[in-house]
Amino acid sequence: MDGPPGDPLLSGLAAGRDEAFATLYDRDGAALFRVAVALLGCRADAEDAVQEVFVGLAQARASLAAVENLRAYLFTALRHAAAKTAARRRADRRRPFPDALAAPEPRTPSDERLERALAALPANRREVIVLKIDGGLTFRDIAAVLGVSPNTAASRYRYALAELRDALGGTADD
Amino acid sequence: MTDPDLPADLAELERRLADRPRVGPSAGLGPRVLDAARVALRPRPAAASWGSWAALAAAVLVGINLSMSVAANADWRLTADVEPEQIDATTDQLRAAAPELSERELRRQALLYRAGAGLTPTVDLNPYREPDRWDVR
Amino acid sequence: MGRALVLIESLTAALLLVALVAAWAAHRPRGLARWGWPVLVVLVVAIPAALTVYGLWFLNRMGTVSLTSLTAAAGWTLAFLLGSFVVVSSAPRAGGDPESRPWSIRSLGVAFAAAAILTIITMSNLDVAVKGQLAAVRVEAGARAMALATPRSTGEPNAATIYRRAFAALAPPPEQLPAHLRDQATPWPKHYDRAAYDPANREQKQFLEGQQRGLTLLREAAAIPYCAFDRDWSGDTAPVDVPLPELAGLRHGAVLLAYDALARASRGDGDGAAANVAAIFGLARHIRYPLLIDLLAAVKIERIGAQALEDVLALAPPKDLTPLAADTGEPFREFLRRTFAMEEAWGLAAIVMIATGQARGSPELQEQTPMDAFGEALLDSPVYRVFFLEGDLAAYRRHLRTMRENAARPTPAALDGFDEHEKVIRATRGGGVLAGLLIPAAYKILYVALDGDATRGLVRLAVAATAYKAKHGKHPEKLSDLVPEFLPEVPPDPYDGRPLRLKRSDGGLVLYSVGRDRKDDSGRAMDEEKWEGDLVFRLK
Repeated sequence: MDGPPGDPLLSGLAAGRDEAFATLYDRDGAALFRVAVALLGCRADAEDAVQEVFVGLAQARASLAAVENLRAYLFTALRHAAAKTAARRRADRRRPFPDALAAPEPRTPSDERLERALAALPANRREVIVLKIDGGLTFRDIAAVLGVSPNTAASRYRYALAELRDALGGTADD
Repeated sequence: MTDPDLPADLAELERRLADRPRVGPSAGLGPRVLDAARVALRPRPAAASWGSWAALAAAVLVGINLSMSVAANADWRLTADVEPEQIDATTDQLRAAAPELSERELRRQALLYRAGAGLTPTVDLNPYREPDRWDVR
Repeated sequence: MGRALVLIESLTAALLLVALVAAWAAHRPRGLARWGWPVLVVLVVAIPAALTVYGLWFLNRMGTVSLTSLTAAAGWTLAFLLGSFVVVSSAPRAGGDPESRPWSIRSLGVAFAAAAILTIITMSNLDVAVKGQLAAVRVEAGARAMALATPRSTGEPNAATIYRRAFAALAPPPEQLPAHLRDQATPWPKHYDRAAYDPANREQKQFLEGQQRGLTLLREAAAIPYCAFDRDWSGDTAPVDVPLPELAGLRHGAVLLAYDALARASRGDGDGAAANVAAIFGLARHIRYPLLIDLLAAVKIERIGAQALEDVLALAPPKDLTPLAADTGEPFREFLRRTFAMEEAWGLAAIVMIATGQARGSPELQEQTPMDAFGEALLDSPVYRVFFLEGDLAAYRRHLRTMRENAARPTPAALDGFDEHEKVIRATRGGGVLAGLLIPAAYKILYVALDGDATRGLVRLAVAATAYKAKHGKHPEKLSDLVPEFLPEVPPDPYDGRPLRLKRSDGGLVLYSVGRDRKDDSGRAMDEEKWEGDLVFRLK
């Protein structure tokens, strides 16, 4: 599904066809947005990041034919875009914490706590959880995005979960 | 999606994370993103035409240069060459005139004679050679 | 300057090629192909380059190639390897990281083509410049050859015409006859050997009687001072203005004159024999064209004359010695210097000829170079002309100038100088490919010339001693007795600069020069194989 050479989606993207981009957005746009929100905490920034991913894709479409893992490629691009946005935001001195606009209704207090604990995790722990849960990526994809082996990705995920559990006070439920 | 090897509490945590409410993209995001992509897809403006004229000019200049170099290097071989019969005659005569010379020295002398022939060539006024008492050919 | 430009351009083109292949391979799927292709290209360029550096290092150690060439080649190869490493390792991989832009294959291709074409243009222009200057070298060689050639005269009587008639009248040497006529040839070996003559042998006697007309013509020709062989009357034309067939004829004539002198002396006709010997020396004097072959022939004839004189003086000393006291002309040392000068002129012409491909396919060149067809192509290539010809030509000129200088020095220094020079040439293989091919074996030629001068000195001494004996009834006690009445001075021994020596033995005299081993062996005759002993002239 992720593009061996000859994949029609990849070749459509490489050729610059509108329908291919539309198909790609339909397939992965929501996941990209969710991950972006979890990384950045702000809806506007997340939308900008997703847009940047797609623009970058269009500009670099000449080299798309050799991409083996399109999904990993997209989420890597999203990581870069998110990092750039975060850097811009730090420069503007905006609040790094999630604002109310990003929170959907309704939210239970336990969800609230979960979100806060997640946001408080170190960035590299948070992102592996977010890529797996919100992005729906396999360990293989995560490994490609982070530049590690799949086993490393899996064990990092497990450590991240353990840390989150500890941060929540040892018990899984409220 | 879920990792079957996880211990129970982590698996529970994982389920909670998966079930937590999350925001989705706004309805306008999709068209906005696709519009931006379409803009990026558009071909470059006509500034490239200057580039292609410059490339053409460069190619023409290089081509002229190359052809001039090749032409200057052409060898028309206008100078007179030495006839091979004259060379054979020389080697035999060398051997007859100086039999004590080593073969290497004889060949070296023959090479020099061939070069010297081009330097101060002689006109053969007698191309028809009558067999002489001294001529074994 | 131009060479540095070519090296830079070629290096740029090579690195661009590597980058081009790297950019192309970046689009291949991950694995061997991605870095395999660029590495392959690097090896294809680097291995021949490294081999060239190794070859140049080897030649530089021998002194054949300059350090500059070696440094340039080594620098190029090193820069290429470093640059390739940088290029291949920093080539972006398409499809991996969306942040990195892969290199544009089209731009790299255009850049590579441009660099390659520039290299070709520069190389071609440099080659044109070299060829233009080679043409000037050829003109210089021609001018030198003309300056050294024997001058022509129009009014004087020319011995050459009489020589021609003599050659026609004499029996030809055996090797010049077709097989079925060989038995008409001389009954003697083609060199002069006293032992081969038997006065009682009727065949030999009849043969000599048949040669008298030719021998008379030879004597007549030898007495004429001026001799110039022209081309338009000879049946066998050498391609150059050089008396080649005449040399063989003169040698043969000298041998026949010697046997005839021996015959006359055996009959008691000392004066007739002396006239023949004087004619032999006259023949040698007429050979003046400044070439190695001519020098060899002249010395050979001189030695034939000396041997004949030795035998004649032993059998029937002539009463009239004046023909033998004729002026001997230019010393062979001077002849040698002119020979080296002409060698250089023709050598320069040969270098031009080979380096511009005009000697392709000539058997002389092929037999000389071990590489044959490949070697010829290499020597005719722009690479050789642009990078190596300069050093080669300079080495050749340097060596020949050294030879001329050494030939001009007084004897012990000259011999030592040649000795040293020979070692240098051997160690450095001449200092260049063409130089190694064309430099003469000078050491041997020098000995020939010194032998010739020694022989002349001994002959003069012998004639003077014979005159002394005719006047005083006995041989001189020492050579200084001959001065000043019979000789202005004792001739010097060309091998050590001291006067020629004398030793009494068996009631006669042994006049000698220390010879090639430069050791005074008290008049022991020279052993040709071992080069030991002295050059002797015996007087009874």
